[in-house]
Amino acid sequence: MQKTNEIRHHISAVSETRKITNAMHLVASARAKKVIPKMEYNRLYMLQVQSVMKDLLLSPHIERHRYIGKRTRKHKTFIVISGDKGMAGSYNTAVLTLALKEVTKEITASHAYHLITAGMMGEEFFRHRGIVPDKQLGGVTQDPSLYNARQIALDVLERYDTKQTDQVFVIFTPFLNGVAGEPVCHRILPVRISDFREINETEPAHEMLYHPSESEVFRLLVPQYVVGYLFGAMMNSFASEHTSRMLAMQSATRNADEMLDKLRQQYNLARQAAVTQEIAEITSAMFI
Amino acid sequence: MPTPFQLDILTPERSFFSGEAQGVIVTTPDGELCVLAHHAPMVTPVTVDGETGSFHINIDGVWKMAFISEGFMEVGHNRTVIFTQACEWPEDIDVQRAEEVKRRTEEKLRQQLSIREYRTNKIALARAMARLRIAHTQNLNK
Repeated sequence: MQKTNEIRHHISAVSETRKITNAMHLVASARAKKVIPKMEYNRLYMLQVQSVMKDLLLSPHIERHRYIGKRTRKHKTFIVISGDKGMAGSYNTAVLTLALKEVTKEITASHAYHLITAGMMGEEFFRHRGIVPDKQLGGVTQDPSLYNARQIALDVLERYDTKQTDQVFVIFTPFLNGVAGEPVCHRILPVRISDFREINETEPAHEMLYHPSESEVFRLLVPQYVVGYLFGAMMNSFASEHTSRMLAMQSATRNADEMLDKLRQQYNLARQAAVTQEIAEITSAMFI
Repeated sequence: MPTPFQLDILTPERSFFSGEAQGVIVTTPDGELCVLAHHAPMVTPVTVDGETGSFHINIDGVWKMAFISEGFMEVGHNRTVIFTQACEWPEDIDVQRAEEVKRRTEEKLRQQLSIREYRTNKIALARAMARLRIAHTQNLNK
């Protein structure tokens, strides 16, 4: 009897867990679906912004703008986008390992740096390793909105404008062909012409009229680019996180199903064995 | 009727408008600017002005008003693209939220602020006021 009870207990525990993983799978897939169509619009928007930026970068008037020029000092700012929760396969580990590598490079070279973590997992990860992030933004990755992207963008732009930092990098997980891709570390400031190699120019540059002037348009365009890029990075990360979680939970549910099958078989065997034993005991007792 | 041209209005969240228009009026840093078909290629920033700025699109001879946030207009050969952070028809404007933002930013502007905070709040206030003005005008016309 002892054994069947134990197995029955185990079965109910596993099926409870299976319910949870299954629910998480459904929630994650719903969330991922919500953000994926928006990404296409942001891509179109960014293409437009980038093509105008490329035109401007090719024009001779804005060679020495503050958003382009290399600075001699190389103070780096990192924006690390991770999730708020685990249970998403290797999603958090992959992006944070890359971030740690980049930050460690700065530490070993004893350069000063500024670390911004978006997402609770990132903050915990760095604190655990004795690196305290300079700015923590918990919760923003659960809501990839333009408002949040703008807040981060304004903050880094101000640091860049006041020369507190010289390079801004964003570390995130791109969402490629329906699955989370390899995490990347991308420089958003300063802007270089080589960043736009794959972008088509819209019009022959000399024909274009810039109103009021090239440098003024460029000065206003760069913040839009930064906001758009961060928004895109946040949506990519969000979609990656939730598809990773979806896949992780799907396989967890499958494992639970397999386990339940095995347990039920064991349970039936144990029950049968108990019944057989009881019959044997009764029949043998009759002859005494 | 004036010659139509292709007009696309893109935001990072959606494609607000894509189709033929006869004209478009935007507010630029030095005043309002109207673009018709065959305009010379040009790029200009679009700004938000809480008091007077406006954004109108002429679709099939009817001028329609909408709210537009900061952005850019790129006029090409018979294709004009406006890309902006946000764009809304008057009926889609969340008046309550705009009122709330207006109240909050006005309150903040009364306090001592850093230059950055001042600028951010000023822009937010301009946006809220423009939204309210457009939603209000629409209601009057009904």
